[in-house]
Amino acid sequence: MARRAREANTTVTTTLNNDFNLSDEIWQSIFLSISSFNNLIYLSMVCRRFRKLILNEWFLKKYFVEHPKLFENLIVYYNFSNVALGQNPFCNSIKRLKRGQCDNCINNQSEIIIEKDSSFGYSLKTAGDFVKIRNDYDLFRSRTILETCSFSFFFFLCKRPSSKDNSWLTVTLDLIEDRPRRSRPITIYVNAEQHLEFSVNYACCIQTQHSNSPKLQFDMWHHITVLIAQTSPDDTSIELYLNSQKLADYKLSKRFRPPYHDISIEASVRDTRLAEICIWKRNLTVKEIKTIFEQQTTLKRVDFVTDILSRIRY
Amino acid sequence: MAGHKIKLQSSDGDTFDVEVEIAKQSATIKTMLEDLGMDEEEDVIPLPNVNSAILKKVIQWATHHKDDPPPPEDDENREKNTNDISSWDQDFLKVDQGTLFELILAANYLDIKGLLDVTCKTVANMIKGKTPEEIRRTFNIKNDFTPQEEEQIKKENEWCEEK
Repeated sequence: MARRAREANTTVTTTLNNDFNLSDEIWQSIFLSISSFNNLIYLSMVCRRFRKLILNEWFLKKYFVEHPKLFENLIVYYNFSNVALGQNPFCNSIKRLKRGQCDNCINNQSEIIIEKDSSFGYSLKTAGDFVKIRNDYDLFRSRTILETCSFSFFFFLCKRPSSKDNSWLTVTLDLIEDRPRRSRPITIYVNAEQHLEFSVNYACCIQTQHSNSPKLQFDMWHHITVLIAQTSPDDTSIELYLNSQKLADYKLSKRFRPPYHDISIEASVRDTRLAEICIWKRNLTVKEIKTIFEQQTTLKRVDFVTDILSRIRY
Repeated sequence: MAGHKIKLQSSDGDTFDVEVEIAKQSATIKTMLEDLGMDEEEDVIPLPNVNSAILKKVIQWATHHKDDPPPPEDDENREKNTNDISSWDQDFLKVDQGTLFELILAANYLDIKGLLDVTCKTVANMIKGKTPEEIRRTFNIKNDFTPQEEEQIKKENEWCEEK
C-alpha cells in the first residue's frame, strides 16, 4: 500500500518555487484547455519552462487537434471530399442528396444537405449553351450577424477553347436592408480574358472596379480571400487577396452597411471547379491566408506546427 | 454496503472516516481497495501526499459530488463542458492559489477526474485574456528570459498574434 503511494508520488515532479509547483503534465493539460491561440502564445512568453512545454511538436499537434486554428469562429464550411459527382462544379461538396437521388446528375428537384447547420440552396440555370449552377448561402437564415468576416475559397479554371460567352466565376455578397435583393454590393468576377474583376457597389450607385489582376492560369487552383472588417462604427474596410497577395483595399463610409444577407457563387459547369468555401466570423491573419494558399489542402489538414517551430530559436 | 466506512490517513497523521462510495471517486483508493480486499473495518489507508487541510477539502468535494454520474469517457462530450463550472464548485474553489494548487496535486495523486478537471479549469480561467506579464504576476513566476531573448521572442511571435 505504501509502496503504491510512493509510486504515485513520483508523478509529481520537480518544484520550482512554492506557487509554481504543478507538474509539467498538469500545466500542459491546463494549456490544452486554453482555446485562444493568442493566449497560448502569450503563455509561451512567460518563462523558459512554459515555452518549452508549449513550443514543441508533440504539444502543438495535440493542441491543434483540440482547437483547430482555422476552425475558430468558422461559421460556414463547405467541405469538399474527393468524391466527384457528375456535372456539378461543386461536385465534391455534396454530402448527400435529399431528393432526386442520382449519382451522376443534378436535377432541380435536388436539395443539398451540407455539414453544420447551414443551408446551401442551389438551382440550375440554362443560359445559352451553358448550364450554370448557382449556390446561395442564406446568411440571414442562420441568424448570424456578420460585420467582421472573412470569406475564402479555391477555384480552378479548366482549359477550354476560348469562347465569347465564357463566364468563369461570379461571386456576390448581398446585403440585407430594404434594398432589392441582388444588389450585389461586393462582386468578384473572372472575365472572359481570365482577369479577376472586383467591384464594390455602395451608396446606391458608386462603384469601384478593379481588374488589373495577373491573367489567371488554366489548370491550377487559385485562392481568393475577402476580408471585411468594421473598423469603426462608421467605416468598413474590404480587402481582396488573390493567391495570398493583396490585390485591392477599400475604405468605405457608413453608407455601406453589413450584415450580409446572402453569399452566392455562380460558375459554369464546363469551366470552373470550386473547393473549400469558408466563412469566418473574424478576420484571418495574413499568415493564415498565406498558409491556406500554400498548403492547398482541406482546412482540417492545414498544418501550422511545422511553420511555427521553424521560426523558434529559443 | 451502503454506509460502510473506511479510514483515510493524511500525511500529518489525522484519520478521517469516509464512506467507501465517496472514497471510491478516487481511482487510486478504489484500486487499493480492490487489490487488498475491503472487508476489514479497521483498514487505514495512508495518503502520504495529502495533508489534513487538503484532505478535508477533497472529502468535502467528493461528498457533494457523490451522486454525480461518472464522467464521460469519450473526449467529445468532455470538450463541450470545458467552460462551465457549477456555482457550488466555484464557491468551493474560492481559495488562495497555494490551496488551489495543492488541490490539483491531490486530485492528480488520488486520481479524481472530476476534481482535477474543475481545478484545472479554474487555473485556465486565471490565464485567459492575460498578457505574459499579467500571467507572471498571477502565478508569481519569474521572467527568466534575458532582455535579448525577450526581444527575439516578441519578434518571432508577432505573426501569429491576431490583430
